[in-house]
Amino acid sequence: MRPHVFAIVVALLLYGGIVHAASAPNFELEDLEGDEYSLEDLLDECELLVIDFWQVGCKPCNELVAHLQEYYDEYQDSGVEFVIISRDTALTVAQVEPFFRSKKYTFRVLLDTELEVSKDYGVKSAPASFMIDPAGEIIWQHYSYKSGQEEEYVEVIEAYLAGEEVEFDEEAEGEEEPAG
Amino acid sequence: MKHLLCVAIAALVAAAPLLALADEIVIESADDAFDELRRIADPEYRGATVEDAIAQFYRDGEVDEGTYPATEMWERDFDLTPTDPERLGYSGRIYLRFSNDDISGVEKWEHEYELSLQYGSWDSYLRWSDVNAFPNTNDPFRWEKARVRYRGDDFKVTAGSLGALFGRGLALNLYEDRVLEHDNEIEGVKAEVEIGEGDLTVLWGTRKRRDEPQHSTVSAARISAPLTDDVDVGLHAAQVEFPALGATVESPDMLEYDLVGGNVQVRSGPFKLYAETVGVQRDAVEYGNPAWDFEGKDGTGTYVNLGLTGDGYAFTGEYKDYQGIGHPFTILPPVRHWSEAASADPYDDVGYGGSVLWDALGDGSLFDIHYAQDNAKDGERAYTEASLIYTSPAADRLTWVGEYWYVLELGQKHDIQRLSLSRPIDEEWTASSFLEREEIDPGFIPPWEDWIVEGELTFQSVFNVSYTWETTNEPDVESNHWGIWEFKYRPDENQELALAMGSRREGLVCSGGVCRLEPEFDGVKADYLVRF
Repeated sequence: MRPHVFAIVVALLLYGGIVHAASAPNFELEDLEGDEYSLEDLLDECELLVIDFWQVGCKPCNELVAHLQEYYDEYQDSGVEFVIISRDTALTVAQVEPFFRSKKYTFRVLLDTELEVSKDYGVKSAPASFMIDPAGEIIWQHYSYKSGQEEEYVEVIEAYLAGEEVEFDEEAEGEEEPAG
Repeated sequence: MKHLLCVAIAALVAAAPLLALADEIVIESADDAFDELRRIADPEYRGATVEDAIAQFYRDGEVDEGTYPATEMWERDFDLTPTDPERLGYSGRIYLRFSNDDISGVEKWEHEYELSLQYGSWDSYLRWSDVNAFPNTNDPFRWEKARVRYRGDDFKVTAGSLGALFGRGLALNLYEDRVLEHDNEIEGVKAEVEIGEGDLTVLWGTRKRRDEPQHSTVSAARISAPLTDDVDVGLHAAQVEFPALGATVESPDMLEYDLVGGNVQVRSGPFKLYAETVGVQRDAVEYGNPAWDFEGKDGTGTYVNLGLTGDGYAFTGEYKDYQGIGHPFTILPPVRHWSEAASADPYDDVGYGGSVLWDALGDGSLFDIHYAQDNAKDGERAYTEASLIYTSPAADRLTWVGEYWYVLELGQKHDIQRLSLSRPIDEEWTASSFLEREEIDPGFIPPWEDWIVEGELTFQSVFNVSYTWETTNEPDVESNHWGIWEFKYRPDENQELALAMGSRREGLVCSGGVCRLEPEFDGVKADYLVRF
């Protein structure tokens, strides 16, 4: 069988039978102060962890992160933690802290200067967001960003906090809550 | 190395169910008792008494409150938080691509498989692929990456494909950027150990590109530690050995560099200073190729970054002086920000730059003002850039970014204006556009203009369509306009289909200090991605 046909078959079989909440790869990264945090450390502190991969000069990233700061302020007391993972290598990492300080953002920023965590999560460009439950399962993920899509984050968070199963259901768009 | 890792990972996967099902518990100490109580405790049960522990694990007749180990248990403070038993976690991606490029005549099917596994303190990453980001290049299908890692309480060991960053990379900077097809990672072993407040990293590895006749080798070590609450220092040393240009299998001409460097970081309130230096010693090589070996001439490099942040603003200043520190296992901070020239010359490059980020209006908008210049020491390669960027508040319905750039590179002036707009049309649709005008004046012929116009429609996170049109009135250019349609469809969060049809101009793409010339493209590209 030609390799690409084999790949299509495998992909369809996987999608049909195995797609489920994937396990979030563990990581250990330093924040802007040089303190190290692992995924386990972060999950121990919250009911839901929202990770957003970001990088300097990425305009959609900057627009999205402004909305995430609002949600962080709103949902922090409910146990929702937001963490930014910067995909800037050593060459642009000097611009990361000035950006977050100038905007007075308060969430934790971790530095993935070797792009290893990006590789583990399959992230090749930013923004890319993942919501992870305390058991380490990825319950929702979102790639790229356009104005207006930030509301999807709220829908997922609200559904999760209400104890509903989080599913991406195109037919459910327009309803108040996604199908459970 | 990769085959051994494959066997190890297969054994781990095969053993995982057995490990998970193992139920014979041996209690020999209070620690064992508490660990077991954590494992079996009801999820709703957040505490335990010593009596529970004793009753659970100590037979009648052996309990003696005055003797070991019961006494030990009475004296312990404990909070038995239940934990889940270990299980094998995994995630991955399958990626398929078809492309047909009329410019190069290359038609290809490509596929890629990525798998991340984790079990307890172990994790691994595997990738098989023949995907090349550039449509005119065919790569063979091969086992590209394999990495296994074990994390202990205060150490971490990585075996396989690995990257490493020492300081800001003047001595060693190994990483992979797949968008630019940059990969200088090595295959070897890296150990990272916490020693008190400090960290020790030791690594060894090799690399061989398909176009190289011999393996390159990297050995390196770094120690970093805080001197005080506000001062961190690091020291590192490395030895790199790689084939010289022109080396062949029959005539392996290997170059060996010894590097020693260090860095210091000082924080004091809103002020932050980072400085790094490196020295490179080369072995003298008779008739050495000047691209890699300056006939034994040694090199030095310095990088300094100064930051000051306040309420609504941040200032950054950078300085670089790189003289003869180039080798395949580093990429240097450029101080330049312009995306088409954001790299540094490791052989002779002196420069400085500064940026101010300022929330001047206090409404969530941001001004970004930047200036940089660099040169060769003899002053014959001047480069200057200046930019002003305004980003509107994200809370506004219409968000926009306006940019002005002025760049002077090797006597050629670039005058660039950019405007990005994005606005939701209703609850489901968003419209975006991008406009760029660039005037290029080489100085010895009349200037010309390049234009890029892009329009995009997006339906929630499900579907988007865009058209990008480029044109130029540059003289002597065979084709002066290009247009490409791009469609993306995401039926759910785990799948993505993309289609691109049309033509794209050749151009320089830079990211993170690495630049690649992306070739002209005219044809079709189709991609399918599934995540699991």
